Amino acid sequence: MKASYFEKVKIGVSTIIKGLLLSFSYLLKKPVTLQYPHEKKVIAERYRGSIRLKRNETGELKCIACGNCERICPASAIKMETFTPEGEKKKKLSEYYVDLGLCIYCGLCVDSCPVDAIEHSIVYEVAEVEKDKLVLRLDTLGEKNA
Amino acid sequence: MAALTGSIFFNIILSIIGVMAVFTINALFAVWLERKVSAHIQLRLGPMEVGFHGAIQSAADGIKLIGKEIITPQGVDKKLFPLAPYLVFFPSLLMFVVIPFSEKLQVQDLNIGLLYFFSISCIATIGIFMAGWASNNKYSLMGAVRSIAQSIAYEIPIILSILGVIIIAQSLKLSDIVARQDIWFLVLQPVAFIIYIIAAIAELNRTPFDIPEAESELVAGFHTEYSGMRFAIFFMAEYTNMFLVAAMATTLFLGGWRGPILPPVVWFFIKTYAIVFLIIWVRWAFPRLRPDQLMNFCWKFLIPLALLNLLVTTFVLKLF
Repeated sequence: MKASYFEKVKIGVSTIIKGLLLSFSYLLKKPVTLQYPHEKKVIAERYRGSIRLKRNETGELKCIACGNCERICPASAIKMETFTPEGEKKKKLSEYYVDLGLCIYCGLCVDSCPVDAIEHSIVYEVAEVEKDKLVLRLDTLGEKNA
Repeated sequence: MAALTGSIFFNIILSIIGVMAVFTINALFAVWLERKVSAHIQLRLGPMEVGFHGAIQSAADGIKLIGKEIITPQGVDKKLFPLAPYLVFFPSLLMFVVIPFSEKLQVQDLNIGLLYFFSISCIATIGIFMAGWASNNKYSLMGAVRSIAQSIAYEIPIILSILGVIIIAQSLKLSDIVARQDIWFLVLQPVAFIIYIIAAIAELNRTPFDIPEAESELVAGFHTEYSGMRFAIFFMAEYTNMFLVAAMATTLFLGGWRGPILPPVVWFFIKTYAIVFLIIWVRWAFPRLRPDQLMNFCWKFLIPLALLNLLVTTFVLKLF
């Protein structure tokens, strides 16, 4: 059945009032905006942020320079240079590169490490003005970890 | 000094400064208010960076717009295109002349103040059409055509609704209308007030009646091709018209500057910005109407209702 003229007017007026009241109720609610540079969101403990190398109790790197992470990295973001010290059999890291411009934060390097020497930090603000600075080295890996 | 204060030149200059001050401060404040209200209705915060809660954001935006290049696109009407913003802008300034901010604070208390106000407000429509035509752009032209159709249609209910007030007040002089409001005319003419607000929102080309500048259909309507300060003039004129419409609603229905304790000017601005808030609130609560719905609403609902209201008003006045 088609609504008559006056029924239509009644529906119209009631919906207008309903709409106004609803939007006013939103006006009084707390905004959901996060004021990003001033406020930061809480990062989950297992968040996959930029990569860092773990150290043992004596402060040495746990890395055994096996190259698993370098090989498994799907984005080829990890490069490492190794050397074998005189009179020793085990290899050691001489340099470790993580290109954050390439890294897809997949976590395969962390999973594949046999000695648990590499991990994700919760650092997510990794943007840089210069492209070169995106490549982390052994010494700068620590800086981004803070 | 005494001779100077009495002279007509001094009065004119003082009036111009006063009107320009109200014009500028209102434009800055109303834009800020609109952004804040719209943001909070949508659970956002709105401008927060420039000044306390973004209080001087509008000023910063103004500076940015002044600094921008004024672009005149190819193929536009070289004479009409730069002229159009001013034709929209100056009626807004002229309309300030009759607004009674308080008993004494009024540029000129014309005895046909109401007629003057609504006649001048029509001139802006020509400016809008000029802008749309001169832009040589189909969206601009569509927006301008729609604006004309809408303005002509909604002039009728707006005038019919204030006729009720005029009949009760027995005057077109705004100071008289305020003086007669021992009871607010809102109480005596509630239907007229509602019709006035609806028709005024349509006259202002604001949502839900913003078909002349419907963003999703016409880019920006008649001011699509305008940029920089020319756009800013359109923009300021829009917010000034909003203030003027609200000021007129205050004068006609809410007892103007009258009120207890606080000074009259403060009362005037409180009431005016309450209406401005209402207009902003409506904008962010409702979607846009289709052009045919808009016309139907005006001709089939608002005008009959306004006529009925007028009839009842005259009848009641004759009887009692």
